[in-house]
Amino acid sequence: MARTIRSLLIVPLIAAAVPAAAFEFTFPWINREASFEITETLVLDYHDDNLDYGELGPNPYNDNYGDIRNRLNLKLSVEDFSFAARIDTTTFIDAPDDPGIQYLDRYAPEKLNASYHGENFQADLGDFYASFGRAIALRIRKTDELSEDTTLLGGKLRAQLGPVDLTALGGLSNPTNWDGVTEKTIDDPYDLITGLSVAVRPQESLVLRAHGVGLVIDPLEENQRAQGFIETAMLPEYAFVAGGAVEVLGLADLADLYAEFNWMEKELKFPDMPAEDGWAAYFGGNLYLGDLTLTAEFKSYSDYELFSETDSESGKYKPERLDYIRPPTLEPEDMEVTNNHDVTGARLKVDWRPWGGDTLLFASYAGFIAEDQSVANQPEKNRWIYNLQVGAEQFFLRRGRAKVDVGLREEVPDWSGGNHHHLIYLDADVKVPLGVRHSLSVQGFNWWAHKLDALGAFDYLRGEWTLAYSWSPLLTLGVILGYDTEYSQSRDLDIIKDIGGNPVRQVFMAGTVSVNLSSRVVLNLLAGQIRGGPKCVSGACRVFPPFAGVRLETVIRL
Amino acid sequence: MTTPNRPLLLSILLGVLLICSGCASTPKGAKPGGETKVVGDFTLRDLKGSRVSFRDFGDKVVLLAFWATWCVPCHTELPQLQEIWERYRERGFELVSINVDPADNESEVRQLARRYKYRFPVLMDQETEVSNRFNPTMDLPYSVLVDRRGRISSVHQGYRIGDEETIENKIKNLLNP
Repeated sequence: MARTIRSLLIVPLIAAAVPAAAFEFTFPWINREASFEITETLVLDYHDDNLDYGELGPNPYNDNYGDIRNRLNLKLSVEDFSFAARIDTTTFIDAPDDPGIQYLDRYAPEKLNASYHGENFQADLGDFYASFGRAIALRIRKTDELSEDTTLLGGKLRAQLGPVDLTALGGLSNPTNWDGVTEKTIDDPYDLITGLSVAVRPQESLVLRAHGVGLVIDPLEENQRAQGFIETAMLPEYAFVAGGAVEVLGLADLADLYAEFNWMEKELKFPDMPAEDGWAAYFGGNLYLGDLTLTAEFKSYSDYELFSETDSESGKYKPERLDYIRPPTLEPEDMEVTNNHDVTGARLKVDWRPWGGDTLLFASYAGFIAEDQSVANQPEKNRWIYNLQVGAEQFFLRRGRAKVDVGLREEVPDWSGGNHHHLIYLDADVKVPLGVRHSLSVQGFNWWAHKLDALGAFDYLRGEWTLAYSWSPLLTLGVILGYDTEYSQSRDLDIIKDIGGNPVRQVFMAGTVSVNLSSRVVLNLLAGQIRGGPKCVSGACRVFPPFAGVRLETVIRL
Repeated sequence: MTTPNRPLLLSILLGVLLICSGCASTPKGAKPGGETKVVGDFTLRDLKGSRVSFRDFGDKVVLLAFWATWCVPCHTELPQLQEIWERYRERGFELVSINVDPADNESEVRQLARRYKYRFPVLMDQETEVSNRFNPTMDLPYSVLVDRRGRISSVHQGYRIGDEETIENKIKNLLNP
């Protein structure tokens, strides 16, 4: 009953906003021009049996239920001032009674922000994002692919005083409380983060930066953390990061150079543990030689992690790790990088546009040595990681494009024993114009992998391919084929079967329809199955459950 | 069983309501011609490290094109938009691309901009400050066409081959009202 009442409250709120949407007006009392914007996303899901596998065997606790998710973004702008709100609602229908963590309906304002963005001064109050250095000192922002959207709830001030750029911020960490991966609720970590950054530009091509970040984990002691959660013992009581960077831009129009160093001190929450020091050094340089571009990057990180963990009140909230920094990995973005905090290595990338025309060739090689995370408390044991990638891109028929790359990634211990991981990967993206308004596209990836870990040695195959027909600007029809044989520990593709003969899906097929009803209204429909498994962005990975069922999404911008 | 279905019905009703409102003609209170929202100013850093403000483009017709290194269709769309920009820039059209990659990808952004020979301004929105304002759902590619008076004329989500014709026609209409 309460759920229905909450739904009823939300509907008039949104419905009331709609007739007033998309208009400009003169703001009363101050006689200023103002505008009101709405972005509305409504998702209806029906989850069929996804034939997935939990920790204890086949998992029935994410099957045969529905959910309705609504995200409403509202924004009022009056000249340089703006006021924004994001209101999220989630309603479950016949959700399974999960003995682990429950499915909880949620109706709440997720983000609120008031801001002033003038020419030389900007102020944010409420929720805001922040980034210092190359995300090595601080990185608070959204990563939609991993369903992450953390902000700081507090205040941020930025001022530009001639060649000096100042940023000061402080606030409580505020992740989006509905987790789009598991559809469970996550609580706030109540961590206090403060920061100060100064950038000076003494010459046109030179920028000097200095920054400091302070973190106090859960100063109000609001959190109940699961004792068994692996990260709990590693949580700091407080942490401090200080660093600086030198940036040389457009050096004779031939090169850009960037160097950054950060030092971190942490006091661990675990009693009687000593303070930990860590550091991170990064160098990146681009050299432009006509049709040839070279990029060289180097990283060396030692004990360099800054993360927290959300509340894990039994049965109610899902504990989730939140990283407050994400230093460059120097590998393709979707790679499963298991250790980016005790690692040293470099990458060299070459882009070549021979004959200055429609053909592009590129290659990169990266090599690292990282502390072996598969063995506890033995920092002298390391792993070598190599990643070689080559590819080509061709533009054709004026608007057509084909891009293919292949790579080899190896991760091997420098001692006898330990885990191995060998991977050959292929990425492809081809778009073929069929006349002025019609086109066909194929896009996807394939992994051939070999693993040696505690379970033994095995091979597996993973990939996802999308074939789509588009009729601009109205319609796209697509078919998605996915496969993943990691659970069967075999390269032999079976539609449904794991190594123990359990019904775990290995082959996934779905159809999609995307319709632009107008330039401001988009409908997306998906029916079938979508591959789950680990998904990584810039060294952060999350394991997604496979999806089976129907999903209808509408996006409206007014 | 009736209670759990009510939210479903309400949400479907809500969806239909919103879709209908989105498809409807100009809402009450809006100015004619679909010009409804003032863009307002923003300032971002370009690849040379210089601060670039939206107001620097004066009374030009501006297309704000949001993209990222991982956005596959963006790299098909941007060369097309660059061609349009080269055709109409003398007549007062400016293409301003806004990259939304996080700070850790900056080397990649620089290399990519050179690889594709992007000659239009590339601004970096590493904290998604500007992107959130125009495109809070972070769909990519995403473009916002702004008229000479600084009002949003239209938005375009996604890229299908042929979309550039639609965008070009809209730009022509704004340049020759």
